[in-house]
Amino acid sequence: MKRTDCTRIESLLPLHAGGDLSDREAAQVEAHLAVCAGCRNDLAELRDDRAWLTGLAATAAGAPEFHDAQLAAMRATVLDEIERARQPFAWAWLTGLRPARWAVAGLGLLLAFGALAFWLQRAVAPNELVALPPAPEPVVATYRSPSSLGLVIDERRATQARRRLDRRRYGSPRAPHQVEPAPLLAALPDDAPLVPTADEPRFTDAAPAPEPLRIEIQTADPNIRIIWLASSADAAALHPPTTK
Amino acid sequence: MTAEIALMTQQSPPVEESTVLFALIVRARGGDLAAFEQLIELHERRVITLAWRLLGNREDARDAAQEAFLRLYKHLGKFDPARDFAGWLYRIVVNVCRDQQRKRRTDHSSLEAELAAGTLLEPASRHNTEEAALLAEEQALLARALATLTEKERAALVLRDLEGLPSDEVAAILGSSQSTVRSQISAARAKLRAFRANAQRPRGPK
Repeated sequence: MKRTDCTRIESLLPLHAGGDLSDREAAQVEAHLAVCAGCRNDLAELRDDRAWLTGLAATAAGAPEFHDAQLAAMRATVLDEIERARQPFAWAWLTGLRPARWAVAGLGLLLAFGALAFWLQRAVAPNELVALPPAPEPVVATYRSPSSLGLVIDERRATQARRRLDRRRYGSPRAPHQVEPAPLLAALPDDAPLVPTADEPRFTDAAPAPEPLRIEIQTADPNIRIIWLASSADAAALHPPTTK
Repeated sequence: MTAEIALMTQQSPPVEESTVLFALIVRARGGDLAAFEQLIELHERRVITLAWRLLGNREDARDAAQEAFLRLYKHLGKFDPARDFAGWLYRIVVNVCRDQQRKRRTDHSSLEAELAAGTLLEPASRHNTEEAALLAEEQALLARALATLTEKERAALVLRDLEGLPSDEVAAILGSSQSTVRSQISAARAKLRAFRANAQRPRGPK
């Protein structure tokens, strides 16, 4: 027998052992087996292996042993999963992990209600007017004279500031007599040095005046008026206002 | 379920089991969970056994069986009740086992470790120690034999020789051509022969 025939037949023997060849192929194999003992021996082993396998399938060795309780538990798991999948997503999610998810869901509901209540409160009376706060009382600042405070002010700078304020408000500096600042501010000439010299009068504490002089200064803000209670010594020390 | 079938056969003219199965499928498709539960009871042992033969592990087999029934329910609406339900169910089981193997990256070579750990197989009989030991030995040998095969060869051999399905049904279940399945079965049987030749084979008298 040619070896090539054995090689070709050997490749068909596994299928022939299980009866999986076509009729024509099976006939060719049987014809070869009639004259080849080696192939007959191979076929016998293959059939023995398959018999062992199919025999195992019919016994307990070929199948696992699962008790009825285990199968019932598996069935229950499947049905439970199907029930959960059939429910709306939110409900299924909630029932998945009961304690934690219920807590989260409750917290979410509380927040939702809180937000809704807040929105409703704001949206209830859209036409309700909000009470405006009362108009503030004009601020009256009591101004103590610099001399009473022991201070020396830069009158030149104060005058320049006053003039800038007048330009802004009136378009031009007001005449000194139109201004109601403290006489202190109008007393000094424009070219007065920035720093008072020793020759210039310094406003120091003079003999206490029996009655203070009330000077009111209206600022650019109509709500702010400065009231200066000047001592009579200050008033007496002032030069009369100069006119330009 | 068997009680229900018996009751139906007693109270009415003889009803074929296929007719009962048909009715269960129709009811289950309509959302009847009780009918679906009866379907599961009819096929659970077959499904879990096939999964065990493909995966070689009881825990994996149980998980695969659960997943297979879930997929069955999900796709029951697409199934034509006039077709072969068992073959369709087998296909689902094979696909589930395939997915599970790929996901867990387990192959039967890992069965060796499970065999050593003693977690792989359990003998059927717990009463007779000698019988249990023989049974365990046979199961271990089967697991080792199947472990020598590739995933596709194992599926083809299990369906053909262990489940006893004809080659054309095996091809339909695996979604392969008949020539492909023939090649896989041939290779599997050749490997099985080599395994038994190396492991244990009853020697004839010299």
